[in-house]
Amino acid sequence: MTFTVTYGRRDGGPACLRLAGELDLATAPELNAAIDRLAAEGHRELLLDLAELTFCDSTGIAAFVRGDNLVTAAGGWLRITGATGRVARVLQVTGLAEVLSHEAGVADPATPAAS
Amino acid sequence: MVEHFREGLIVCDADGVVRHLSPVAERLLPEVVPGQVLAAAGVPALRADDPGEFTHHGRRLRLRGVGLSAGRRCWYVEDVTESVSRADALLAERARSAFLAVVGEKLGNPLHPDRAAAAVVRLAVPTVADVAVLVLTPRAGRARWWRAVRADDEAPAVDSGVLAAAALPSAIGEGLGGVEPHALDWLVEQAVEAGWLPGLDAAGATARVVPLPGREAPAGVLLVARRASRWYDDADLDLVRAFAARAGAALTTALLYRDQAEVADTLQASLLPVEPAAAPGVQWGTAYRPAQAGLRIGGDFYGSHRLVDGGSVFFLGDVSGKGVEAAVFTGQLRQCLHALHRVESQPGRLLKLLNDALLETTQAHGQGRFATMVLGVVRPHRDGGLTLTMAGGGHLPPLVLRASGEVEVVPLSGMLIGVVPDPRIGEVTVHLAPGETCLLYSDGVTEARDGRRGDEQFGAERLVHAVTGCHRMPAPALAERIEQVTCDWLGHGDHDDIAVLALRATGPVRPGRHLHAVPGPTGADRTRETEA
Repeated sequence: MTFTVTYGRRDGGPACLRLAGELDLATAPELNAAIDRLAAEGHRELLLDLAELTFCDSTGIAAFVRGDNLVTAAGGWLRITGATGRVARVLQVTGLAEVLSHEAGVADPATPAAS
Repeated sequence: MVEHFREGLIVCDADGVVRHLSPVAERLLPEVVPGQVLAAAGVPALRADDPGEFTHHGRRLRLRGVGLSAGRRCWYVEDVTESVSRADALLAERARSAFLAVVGEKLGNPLHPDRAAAAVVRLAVPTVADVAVLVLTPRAGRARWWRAVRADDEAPAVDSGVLAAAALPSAIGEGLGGVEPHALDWLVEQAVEAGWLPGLDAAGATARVVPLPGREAPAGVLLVARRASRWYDDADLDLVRAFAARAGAALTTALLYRDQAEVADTLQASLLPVEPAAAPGVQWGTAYRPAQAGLRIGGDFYGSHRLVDGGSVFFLGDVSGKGVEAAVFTGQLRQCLHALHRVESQPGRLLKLLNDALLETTQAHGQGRFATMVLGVVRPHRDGGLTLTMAGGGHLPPLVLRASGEVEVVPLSGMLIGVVPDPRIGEVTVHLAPGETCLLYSDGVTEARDGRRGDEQFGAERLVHAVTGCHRMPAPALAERIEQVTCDWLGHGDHDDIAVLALRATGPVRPGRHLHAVPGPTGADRTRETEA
């Protein structure tokens, strides 16, 4: 199964990336590149929609953490939303759900999560 | 007109008397005089019917006879000295090229330095020497040498030895300085004195020394010697130097390769998990299988440290990424823990300290590096049980195999290490009765993908099922079993790093034998009781 990143900009809201498929060692560079591109364009607030993500290993987690470090350094934030099943379990076990979850975050904007 | 020909011309009549002699022929064969019998001219070749080539007055001449009418005969004579020597030079050059090609091929692959040195002297004999001695640049005041001696009808005999750098012949010392020594006579005597030239004596031998180019200084020098009847001329020397250049390159590569291999082995050994130290009341079991089996290192880690009170800190975890980079990170992490457990042995606080220590390096690194881990402290109980206090750093929760056969999932949660400044670290205390086991494992076990039927993960449920009924197994056997079932599930598919750490309560600690190994055992016992 392949991995895709689609960019969906919503007016006034954060830049949104929809991830679909499997995020692992082979595909994480794609996500890193997409996040780097958005950061370079000046986006400081990134929302990753994981609703269609079916697999995420430690490399994927690392990509989230790396992206968060990147935009936090510039005064922004990165949040994740919509994780289900296996991916949700990984985020739960690693405690990353608490750190990066869009719903649980306090610093998040009022705009509802994309789904 | 015949004067312009390259060939000289001699025409004889039916009686063999010379009737005509061209200027070229007159110059090449001054003995031949018109009006006299050719065969009587005093040139032996002229008496033969088909003399072909012969040497005359230092020139190489080619002669051919052609019969003319009325029994007359015509001889063409040509000076072929230069074309012959050109052909000889060409053959010699071809032989040299072929020799160097063989040398290049034999020394082309990286070899162990000793084998490269032996190959160099073996190749030098017999083409450039009857005896070839290679002396490597001394290390720590000692110079190793290899020698090949020509043996008739056999491969050259190779031997080697060591000389103190101070005892090296002076010509060798000069060569190691990058200079080709000039004192050739002394050179042979020095080599004879060093005992390097069996079967050759100083009077009957000729020798040369050429440096073997290295990276900065020469990698060594080559001494070539042979019987004085075959003097080293300029062409021979050029060949020896070309050979030395190739030998030097091969040796330099071999030495560099050895240095790198030594460094890699040392680093690799420092990155491998260290087996947990024996602890009273605890039976350890471990399994470790890195994804890149060839490297033998990976991103999973486990270990333990003894505490002065008789307990032990133990941990198992996984860092993001794979291979060498991940292994280096596990090394940093284990070093951190090694230092930090001396100032803090309460698992939750120790894990937070570790988090703060790693946070600096992970953020500076900028690649989102982090670790997930379970870190605990185990202390033996007088009844033979163990008390485990464990802190969760975003890792898979441990399993406990109860004496009843039941398998429990320890409700341990927490946040990954090295990501946020003040992570939430869960903590839980578990008591193991004698014979009960606590099992820590990495996600390489539960995320193993079915290698035969698709990509279904092994999963936590299958793991629980696999260890159910194994509660009587010793810890090492249990760890091995988990590795085995995981690998069976994988088939021949790729996998992530796999690590397992099992702790089994061995039962009552026999007083004396174990406690002697513990610093201040009775004091430790009291401390434990007040803490419990």
